[in-house]
Amino acid sequence: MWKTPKFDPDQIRLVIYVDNERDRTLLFDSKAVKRNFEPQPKCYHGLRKFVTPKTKLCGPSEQICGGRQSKFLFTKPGSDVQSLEEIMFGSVGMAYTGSSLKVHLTKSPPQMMLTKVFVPEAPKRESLGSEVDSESLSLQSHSDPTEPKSISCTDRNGGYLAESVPMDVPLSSHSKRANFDNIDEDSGLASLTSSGSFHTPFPSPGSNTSSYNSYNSLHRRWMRVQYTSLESGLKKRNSQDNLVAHEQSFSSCTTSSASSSNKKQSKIALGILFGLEEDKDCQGVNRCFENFFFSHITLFEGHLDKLKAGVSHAYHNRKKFVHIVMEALENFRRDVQDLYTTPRLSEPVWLNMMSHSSYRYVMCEKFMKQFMFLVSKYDNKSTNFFMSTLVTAVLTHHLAWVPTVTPAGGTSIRTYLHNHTPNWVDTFAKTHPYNPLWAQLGDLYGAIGFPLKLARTVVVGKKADLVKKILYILTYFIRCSDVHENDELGSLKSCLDDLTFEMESERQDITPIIEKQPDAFLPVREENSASMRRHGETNLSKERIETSWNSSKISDESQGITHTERSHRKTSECSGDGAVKPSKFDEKDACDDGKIRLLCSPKECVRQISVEKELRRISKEYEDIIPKTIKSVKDNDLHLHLPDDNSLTDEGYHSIHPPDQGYSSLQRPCSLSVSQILEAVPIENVKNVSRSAEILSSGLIEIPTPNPVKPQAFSPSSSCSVSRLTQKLLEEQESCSKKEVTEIPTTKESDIRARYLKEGSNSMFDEYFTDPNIETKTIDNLDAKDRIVSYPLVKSESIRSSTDSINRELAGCANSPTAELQGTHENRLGSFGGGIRPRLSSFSRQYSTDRSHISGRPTSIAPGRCRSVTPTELSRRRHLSSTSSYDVDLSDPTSGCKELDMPNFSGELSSSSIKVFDRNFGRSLMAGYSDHYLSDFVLHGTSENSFHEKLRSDLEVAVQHSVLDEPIGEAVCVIADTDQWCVNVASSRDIDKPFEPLTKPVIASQLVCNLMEGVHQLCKLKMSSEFCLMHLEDRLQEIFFKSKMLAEYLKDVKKCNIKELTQLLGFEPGDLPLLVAIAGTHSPHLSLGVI
Amino acid sequence: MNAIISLCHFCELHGPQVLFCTQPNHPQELGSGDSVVGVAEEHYNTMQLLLSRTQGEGGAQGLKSPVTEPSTPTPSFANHCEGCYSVKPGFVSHDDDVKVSYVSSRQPHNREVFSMIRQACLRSLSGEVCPGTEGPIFFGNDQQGHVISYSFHIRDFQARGFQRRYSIIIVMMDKIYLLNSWPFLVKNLKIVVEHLQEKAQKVYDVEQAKSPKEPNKLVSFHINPKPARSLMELTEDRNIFKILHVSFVWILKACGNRITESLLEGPPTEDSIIDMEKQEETEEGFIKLFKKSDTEEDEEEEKVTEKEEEEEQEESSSVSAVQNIRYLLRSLGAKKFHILAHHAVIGNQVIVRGALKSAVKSVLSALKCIVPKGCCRVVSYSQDYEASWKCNFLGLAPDVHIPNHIMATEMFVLVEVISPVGDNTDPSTTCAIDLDQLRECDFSLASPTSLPEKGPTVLTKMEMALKNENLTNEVLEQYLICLKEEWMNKVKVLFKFTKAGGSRSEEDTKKLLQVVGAQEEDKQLLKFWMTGLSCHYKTHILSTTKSHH
Repeated sequence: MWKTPKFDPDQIRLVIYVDNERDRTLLFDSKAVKRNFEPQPKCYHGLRKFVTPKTKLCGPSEQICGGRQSKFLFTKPGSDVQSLEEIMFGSVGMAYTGSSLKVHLTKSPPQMMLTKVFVPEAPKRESLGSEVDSESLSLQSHSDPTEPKSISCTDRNGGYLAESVPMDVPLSSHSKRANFDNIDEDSGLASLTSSGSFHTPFPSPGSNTSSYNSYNSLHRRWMRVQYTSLESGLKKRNSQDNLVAHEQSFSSCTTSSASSSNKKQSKIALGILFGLEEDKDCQGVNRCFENFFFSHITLFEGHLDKLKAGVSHAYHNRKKFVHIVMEALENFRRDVQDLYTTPRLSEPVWLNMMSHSSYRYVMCEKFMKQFMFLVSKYDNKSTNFFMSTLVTAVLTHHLAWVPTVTPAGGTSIRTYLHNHTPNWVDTFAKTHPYNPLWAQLGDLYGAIGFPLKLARTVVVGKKADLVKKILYILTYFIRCSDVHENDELGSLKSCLDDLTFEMESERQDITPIIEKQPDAFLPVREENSASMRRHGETNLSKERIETSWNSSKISDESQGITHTERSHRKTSECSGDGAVKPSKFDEKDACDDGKIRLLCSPKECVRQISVEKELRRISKEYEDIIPKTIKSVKDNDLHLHLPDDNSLTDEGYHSIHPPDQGYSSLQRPCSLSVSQILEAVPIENVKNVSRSAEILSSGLIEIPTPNPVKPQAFSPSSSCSVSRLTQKLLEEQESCSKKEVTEIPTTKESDIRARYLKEGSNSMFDEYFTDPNIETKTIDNLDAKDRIVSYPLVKSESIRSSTDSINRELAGCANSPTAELQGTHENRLGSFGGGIRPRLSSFSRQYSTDRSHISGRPTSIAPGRCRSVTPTELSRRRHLSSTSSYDVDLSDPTSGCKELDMPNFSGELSSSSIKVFDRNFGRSLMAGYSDHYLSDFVLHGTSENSFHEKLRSDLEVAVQHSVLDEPIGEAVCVIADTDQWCVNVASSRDIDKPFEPLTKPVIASQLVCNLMEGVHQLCKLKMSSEFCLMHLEDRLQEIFFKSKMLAEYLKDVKKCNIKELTQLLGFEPGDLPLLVAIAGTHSPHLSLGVI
Repeated sequence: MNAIISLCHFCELHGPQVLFCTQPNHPQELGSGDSVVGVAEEHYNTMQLLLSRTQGEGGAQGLKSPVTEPSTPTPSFANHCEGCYSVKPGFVSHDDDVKVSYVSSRQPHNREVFSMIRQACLRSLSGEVCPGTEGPIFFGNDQQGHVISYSFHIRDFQARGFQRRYSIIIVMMDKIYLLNSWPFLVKNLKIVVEHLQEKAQKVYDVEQAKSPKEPNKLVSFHINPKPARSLMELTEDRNIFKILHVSFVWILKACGNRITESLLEGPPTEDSIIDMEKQEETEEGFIKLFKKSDTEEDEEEEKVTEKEEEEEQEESSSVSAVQNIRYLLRSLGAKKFHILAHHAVIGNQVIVRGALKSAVKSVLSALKCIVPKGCCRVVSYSQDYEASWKCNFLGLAPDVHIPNHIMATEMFVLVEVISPVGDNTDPSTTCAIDLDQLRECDFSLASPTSLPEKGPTVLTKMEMALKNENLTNEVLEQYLICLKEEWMNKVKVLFKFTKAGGSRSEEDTKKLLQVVGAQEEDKQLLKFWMTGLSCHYKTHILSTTKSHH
């Protein structure tokens, strides 16, 4: 079954560099160190070449050995050390100097390189002692225990000898060390507090009480997505890296060079090179390793961290540098080899049942048979009820079984068949892509409760056969999700090929018009062009064929009018923004913009329609809100003139016409205080404006239909382009745009409104879509006093409603998409509730309205549908546009963007479970029976029984370096000894207590005993295996219910007496650890209150 | 995928520049993040508290450390030449099915994110060294994000060395995800890069052919005064950024969907299956095929009572039912209550008669919570007697006469609710009476049947819990769920054993009872509860049995 992948641990090469002030020095290259089996009588130089940072590495012949009799022989380091150094440190010193991880690939020779650059941490003990004494003390205290005798023996001699040699360990290095200590201290704390998914300030989507599984599965994934999201800014993390970076940047900011240079000095770069096969025939081997490497990167990094610890230990213990490093490297090699080549269990029961459900029956039979064999034989007094105890321990620590028995909440009735896949998974994964491998890894290690606890299980025993059987059984209880790979994503290449064709044709079609732009504008009657536009749009949307081209051309032309206006505006805006830009660029810019507009012009009709509807709806909706908002504007003496149809027309016409008057004329229709704006306008603007306006006047004097509303929309925005306006003016604008929004629908005659909605909106909104200089913020970014609209701040309700809405959405999405869109939309709107409705981002509403418009058509065609804009949003944009600088948050980043179709993904995605170990933790972290203890595996068996030292360090590393990228509260290892018939648990909490045993015995839970007994008896009665397994699941669910009850009980009880508790609730004290652990997965609030 | 893909360019004049970024957006979440801050803070604080408790004093200190803004030069307009130009304002694609919008623009709209991207761009083009100068590298840290950078050259006849340096960077906060996706991402980045290079090579070849002079490196290097040309020019494709947009969107989406997972959750509880079955019945107006055929006749009746039931369910949550049953226990006294409950759990008809409609209903709903939902057939308040096969919980108006033959033969228990107000209450007003009224009622109990001395085990446990004042109602509710589920599991075994397993000997049955831990006194209860198994379960068991025999 298991085919060991080709791997040679000697392919792993380690290079270490140190980066001092100006110097970069090679400290170590495993290529240059050969294990010397024959004692080497001669020694040319001191150890200095390698260990002292200050000396340059000159590369002649062979050199250097540690003592008189070294275990190692040193040869010339690799020829590539220079280039490697550059690769690892980077060519330019970066401001950021914290530790970082890098991966490089080199082609010849083919190698994969994993680099860690870090500041070495000094061992704590050294810093506690006084200067010189501590030095020698540390030397001895660090010397032997772990090292092989041969080394420590020779070394002691060598060490003393070396002391007489002038060593490069000046006092300054001690102060340096003190600095490291600070970092060390900090980092120790930081690693505890570095934020994980639990910290994400977002609610769980399923946090309403109706759903049991809220905390486990969906919550975890949701949190992870939110936590790593880039959409709404970064979620800062307090990790070690962060602290170091802070310190560094802080020190680099301060002018005192002494401290900062000190800190900058010593960085160590640790590079691991994995040699790959050069042979072309071995690509498969390489690919396998590469896949394995990248999917298991987090485990590799753990080992790298171990190596790092070894190296920084060696760095501060220079006399034995090479030995310590070699030792650490050997460990690393062995660990990686173990991780990669250890035979895996070929039949993890739970996973196989999941991925091959059709063979379920056969698997049930086999499993029950084995299970019954073990229970009947080894679950009795003489074996200390070994099986029950073991299963208790596994269930207590590998908690991923809990969500698999948690009763489903609102799933469809049809899903009742054993356990089943909840329907949110798929939907959620699509809307919020997360890393399934990460989720799976968390499952396997049982890290799903709170606090996060990593668990592993080792079955120890001399009888390989028995151990294997037990391993097999445990793969049913240690559960995880299964990962699938989508086979038919299509390829980007074919996608691109299809794409270019379409693009090309569009481009050819459009470019000629752009080139002779001024001539292209024929006087077209407005009504016609509008209908034409719509006509063109529909045609285009159906299929882009030549015949529809004419109509769309016309539409382009009529559109062009609006466009030129825009370009006019645009140039003036650019210049208003500060005349730093070369004027030539301005024009080009505008021109470019024009092209883009032209390209998408047919699509704007759709926007018009949607805007129209939107406005109608919103004008109603906002009627009651808006009066309040106007009051909130301080400037009350502002009067907005809303002229009737004709005068508007004239003014609007004029405002565009006279080229030389520039801004002042633009301001006219909206009676803002013109003089103020003029003050703010730099002189250059006028020049630019007039020039572009000249173009306008020469080409476009016959603007065919004066539009009543255009000028209105015009004025506030053009003033927006003026970059420095007073706050007062801002407020005026606000109220202006506000009024514009409110009064048009309410106070004016209906036909004006209609026209406004139909045509005016077009130009008005175009402006906001195209203008890059108008940036917006959401209202929430404003100070409370600046807010136009004050909404009630709803706390818990809003959470519930928003989470509800997500739930509903998820549920909704599961069904057919088109039919569902409308419904989801409704849901979302409804869920926000009346009070907070306006507050929760107008964007979402627009988005959904948008959706409701298009829900009728097939999504694949997607003719340029653009977002519609709500009046409030508009006014917000106006409000903020002038205050904001170049790169500002847009409340809606899509505004103004041209819409492109989604790339095609071929049809329905079909996925299949990943069977290979290199990309599926479920298949890679359960190992078989091995002759020695293994580090990373969630489950494995071994004949070795004295591995406590290794285990201790593993537990330590597990807590320090979290494989899940989240702070780990505790790491445990269940050790089941089939020779002694005992089950123990070792915890990372006990590793620092030298006088306590590392392991504590496990007591079997009566609940589990009953379960085992019950299933056993059923089996004896010749009930079918499948039913027995169902019963087993039912019993597990019972245990889950008990933990719910316990959680409920503990919620109210401050101090609990265990005896009383067990009596009241009807279970035994032995059940308590199990039940509390389970409770940690669904009720995190109390898991720390007990015990 | 929570990633941003950007195209970066090393400009001769301006150094590394971010040209073009594509990033996914969830519009509906833009606002919600903020509204939630209050609670989120709370949430955060408790988490911190918990953490610090687990891990000693560490928690608080980590929080204090101020976080630095990465200092990046703010780009000004003057800083851009044609080579640094890409799109204005950008492109957007809406993925309608999942409500994600992919936005491409010159830079990300969030300032922090932008500075992170910029930092990554700097490192990608000048800080980090890529072996072989073209290809992927990974670098990063938790604070400034993790980056896969694919650097490459684009041919440019007018450029120094006839090529320009570009890179595509993918920035994520999730290191593990990014590295897990490396093989996929690198493969596809390569496709994009080759696409660009191919186009540029063509342009280059044409320009080279046009060039009158021998392409002398030195000459062109010195003569060329022109700053960088834009990518559009280099590839002679106006749509090049659209192509990039589409490719980046493709990569983002495909990478997010590349690997999916399946996970299992447990079957719903028997009670909730029953609920769902009922719901489906009433929603669709007809009985599904799994509905027991012998209950077809009740259908109409049930419909009549449906509305009432719904009302009832709304007004009395399960907690108040638990409250009620505790009250019932107190006012009846332990002995009487035991008899009543015993009748209820073994399926004898419970008739509650009284003038106060709400009180009658409360009594029934209280009793319901000690019996699995599947076993509850309720007529909550009727003007006529209903037979026991129609309902085991019957509420009656005070003057309704129970037929004599029932009085003589049937197994039932009659509870009279004597309201303190008296019988003259107008029935229309009684509906509105508060549940608290139940507290003022008196009950009398009568039953013609005598029960076995010893009650079922589960009842004994329930009574003990009910009497225990240390258990809050919520705990009690959970406790009842535990007990009911536990016993329903026994019932399941029994059902499987008797119905699906073929013929079984008496001895076997006895043994089975022993196995499930049931005594003689539990038999009646098990029998009755078996009728309450959901149709789904039954059909499932029967079908699986068939398929394997």
